[in-house]
Amino acid sequence: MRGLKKCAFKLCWGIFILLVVTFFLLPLLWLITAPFDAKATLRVAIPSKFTLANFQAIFRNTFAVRALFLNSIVIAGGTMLGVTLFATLAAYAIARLNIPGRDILAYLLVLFSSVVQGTAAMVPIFILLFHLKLIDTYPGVIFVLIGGLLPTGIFLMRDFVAGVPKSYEESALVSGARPWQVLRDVVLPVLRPGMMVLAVWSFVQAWGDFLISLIVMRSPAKMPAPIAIYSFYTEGGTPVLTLVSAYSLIYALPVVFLYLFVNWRYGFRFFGGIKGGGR
Amino acid sequence: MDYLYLENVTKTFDKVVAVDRVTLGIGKTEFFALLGPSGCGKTTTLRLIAGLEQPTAGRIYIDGREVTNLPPQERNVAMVFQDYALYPHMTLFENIAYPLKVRKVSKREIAAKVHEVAEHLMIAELLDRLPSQVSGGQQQRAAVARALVHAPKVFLFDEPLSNLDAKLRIEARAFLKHLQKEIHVTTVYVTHDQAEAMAMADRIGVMFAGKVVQVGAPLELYRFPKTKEVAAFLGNPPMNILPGRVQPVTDGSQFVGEGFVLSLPGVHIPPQEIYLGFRPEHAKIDVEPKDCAIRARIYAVQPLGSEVWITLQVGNYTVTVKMFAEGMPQVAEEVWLILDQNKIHLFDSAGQRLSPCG
Repeated sequence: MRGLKKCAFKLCWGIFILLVVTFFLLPLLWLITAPFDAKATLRVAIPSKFTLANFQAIFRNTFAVRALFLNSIVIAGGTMLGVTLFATLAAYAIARLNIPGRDILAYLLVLFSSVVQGTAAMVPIFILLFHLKLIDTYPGVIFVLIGGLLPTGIFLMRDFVAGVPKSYEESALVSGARPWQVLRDVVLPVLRPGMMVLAVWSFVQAWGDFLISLIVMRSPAKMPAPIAIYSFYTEGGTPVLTLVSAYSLIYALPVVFLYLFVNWRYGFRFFGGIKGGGR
Repeated sequence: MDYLYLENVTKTFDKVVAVDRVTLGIGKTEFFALLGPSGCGKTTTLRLIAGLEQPTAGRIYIDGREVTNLPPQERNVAMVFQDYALYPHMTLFENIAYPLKVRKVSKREIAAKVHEVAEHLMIAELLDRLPSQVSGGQQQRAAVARALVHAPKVFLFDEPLSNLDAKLRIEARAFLKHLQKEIHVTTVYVTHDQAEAMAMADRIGVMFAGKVVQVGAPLELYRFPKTKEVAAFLGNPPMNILPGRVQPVTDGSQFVGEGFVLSLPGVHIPPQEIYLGFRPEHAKIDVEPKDCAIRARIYAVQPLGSEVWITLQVGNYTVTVKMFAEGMPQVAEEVWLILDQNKIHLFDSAGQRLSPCG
């Protein structure tokens, strides 16, 4: 009797999990199947007529191609470099210097991060960029994105820095290294797993950004992919599903590859400390 | 002038005095141990010498040159840290080569020197491994090699053996002592383990609460401790120290403890509260009462192979006596404790030594 009950429970649990997984998996399945379907609808279906024509159509749209392979790459790449560099240096300083109220500062930073990129801040940010003559430029978008991501980035990085024994740096100093050599030879290599996490995270965040670019960029030639995707809408405002799905698939690939590359090359670890070593 | 000289060095952290007016002179090629309980300021003293901390007051000289305000990289010292601080992303070769690399030594010379040092420390075949791929003892050797490679003026050790297991620690002691005698580099060695300090150092400085209480050769400290703390800190098992009163009697004095009286012939000090100390090996026990013997009860017997530790209850005190296993008498419940009168230490109520021993 009890065995039966247990079995029934297991069955229900399995069905529940299956439903949840299906819910999240269906859009992904659609993203993989629809681009190859000449008559894609919103239904997930094995392509009745397999075709690569959708992709050909996309590569004929130079505006969309430029948006994806130049503008998005520049914006996400620039943001990634900026966030990784500045967050690492700032987290290192915050973790190593004894500033009074250090922890409160760190939490305040995270709070503020939601403000910088928040919708409410868009008007002041627009005015600021306007006066800095950064409207319709890559740096304009990149700076705002860095500003928004940096606090959380510092917060993430702080744990990694805190896990590095101080004796590494002290030992290097006593060995005769200058402070910048200590940073270059010891601190940064030891922090590399953390920096990789930060890099991928900030790249993904900037890659998916829509609002900042929409507000800051004026000329179509500088719009990134999330905005360019609207060029696959009809004049009436309905999406051309074949093209939108194909473009979305291409749009998703760089992030997947970046993740796979970093994971293969460095391995991901979402916690600080390097006690175990490894390179 | 001493090769390494600390003059009235004080270091305070937020009103806590970590190092309190320490003046120390350490000779060239000397192996000097700084010994003290944890938190006594010995590691801070070492870090002051390395330049990792700046003194609040006082001066530090190395080889006749004042280094008080120089950053660590300009002092040409080397330090072995408690956790070894081997860089986890570099191989042992790169680790050992690092001090030479930052000194812009040519690649060929680096390779030659690293191999020479590694050969010497018997880690030559491990050079292309990462620190995580070698044992604790090998990591320690690599850390020593890294400190050795650039011919420093002063060698600083911060409890380098405390991460090793007991057997390796004894081996490493002999190894480090031998090495130091071979390379003739002035060495400051911080430890809380009195046995380590006694075994390795030419001289020991004992620190308590930021102050250097006594400096001397190991046996000098052992035989003539200046204070009760030093007496109690050196030796294993530690010295027995009993509080009581001293009173004059004909031909000397008498120590009155809680529950027993011990006559001290030939000792002439005014009556006062004192501490009486004797080392576990400077007492015997007998089953028969004798002159000057104290009645005691056996509390525990610890046979340790070559020697036996016997814990006794004497009046209201517990004392430990150490003797060779062969000479051990048949122990009864009640025994008599006989102290070697020439090896008794007396300290005043403030813990300062009253009489020289014997």
